[in-house]
Amino acid sequence: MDEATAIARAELSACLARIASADHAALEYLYKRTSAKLFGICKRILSDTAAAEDVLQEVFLIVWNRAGQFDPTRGVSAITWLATIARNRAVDRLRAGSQGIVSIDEAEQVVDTSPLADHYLETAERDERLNACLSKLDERTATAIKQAFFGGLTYQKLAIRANIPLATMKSLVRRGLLQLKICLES
Amino acid sequence: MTESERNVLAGEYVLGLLEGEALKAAEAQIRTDANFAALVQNWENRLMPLVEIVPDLVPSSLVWNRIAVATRPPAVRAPGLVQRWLAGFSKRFYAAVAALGVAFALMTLSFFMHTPPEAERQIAVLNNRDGGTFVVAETKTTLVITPHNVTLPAGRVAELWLVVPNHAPQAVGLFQSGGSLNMAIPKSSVSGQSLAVSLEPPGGAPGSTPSGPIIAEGAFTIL
Repeated sequence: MDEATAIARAELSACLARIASADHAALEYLYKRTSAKLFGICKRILSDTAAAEDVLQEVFLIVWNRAGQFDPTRGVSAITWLATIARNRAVDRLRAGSQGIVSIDEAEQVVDTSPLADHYLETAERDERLNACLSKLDERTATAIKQAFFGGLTYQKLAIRANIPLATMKSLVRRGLLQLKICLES
Repeated sequence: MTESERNVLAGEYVLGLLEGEALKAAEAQIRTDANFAALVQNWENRLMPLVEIVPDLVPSSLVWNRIAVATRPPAVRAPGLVQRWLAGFSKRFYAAVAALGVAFALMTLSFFMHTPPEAERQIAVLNNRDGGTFVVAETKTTLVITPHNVTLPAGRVAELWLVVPNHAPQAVGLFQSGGSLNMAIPKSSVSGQSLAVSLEPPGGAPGSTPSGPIIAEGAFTIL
C-alpha cells in the first residue's frame, strides 16, 4: 500500500469515528469524498437514477446511525465497508422492487470498463489480484459471477442468459467460487 | 456440510444467488453461527474490489440536501440559517419585509380569533432559494402556512415536514402555492422545531421520507 493510500484510508476511518459521535461536518466531508464512488455503484446496479439516489440517501442515513459499527481493526477499509452497504442496499432494492434489471449490454460493460485513475480510496493491488483471479476462470463463470454481483440475478436468470441448463450454471459458479478463493489466498 | 460447501454457500449468499428457504436458512445461520458469518464477511471483502471497475458518478446535489435535512441537529441548523439569511440579506430584504408583514397580520388575526391568547406561540420563516418564503405560524391548535412569492412547478405540491434529529422527517401536510392553509399541529412538534418543505407529486411523498427536492427550510422562533 502506498503512502497516499494509507493516509486516505486512515482519514476515512477517522471520519467514521467522528460520525459515530454525531459530528455532522464529518458526515458532510465523507459525503464529498465518497458519494460519487457510492452513487456510481448504486446507479450501475439499479440503472434508474431516482432509485439510485434514494439508495444513496439511505446509505448515508445508515452510516449516520451505525458509523460506530465500523471497526478498522478487522482489516476492512472504510471504503470497502461503505461500498458493501451501498452494493447490498442497491441489490436488495433491485430484487424487492420492479426496477429494471441491468441489461446484458450494461453487464458486459462491467467486464470491459477499465479501472479509473482515481485510486486514492483503495489499493490497486487487491483489485488487480481479483481481476487476475477472475481472468483465470472459465469465461462464462467469471461473467456469471460479475452479473450476479452487480445485477442481483438468480441462478435461473443467469442460466437463461448464458443459455445453459440451471444445474450446469450452479456447478460452474460453485466451482468458480472455490477456484477464486484458492487463487486469492495463494 | 463440509467446510468447502460452507464456503461456497457463503459466497453464493454474498453474490445474492440464494432464494426462498435457502436464503432464510443462510440469514439465520449468519445470526447464530459466528464461523459462517466470518466466511460471509471474507467473501464480501474478496468480491467488493469489483466495485472499483464502476466509474464514479456525481449525484444530484439534492441528495445531500435530503440527507442534511434528515440528519442535521437543530443546534447546528439555527446559526446556519441566520448566517445564510444574513449572507443573502440584500436579495431577501424585500421578501423578508413582506413575509414579516404577512406574519404580523397572521399573528394579529390569530390573536383576535383565539381567546384567551396562547401562552407560547412560534413562527418560522422558511426561505426558498428563489427568494420566496413560507411563513409557518403556530397558533394554539393549528399551524398556519402561507407561501409568499412561491411558484410551484406544474403538477407538484409542497409538503411540510418536521425535522427530527437522527430520525426520519415527519410529514405534516400538503399545500399548493396559493393562499394560506391551516393544519393540525403534530403531537411531536417541539419548541424551536426545525421544518422543511419538499416538492412532491400530487398526494404527497409516496414513502415516509421526502421524495422530491427540499425547497425551503428553517426553524421555529418562539415569540
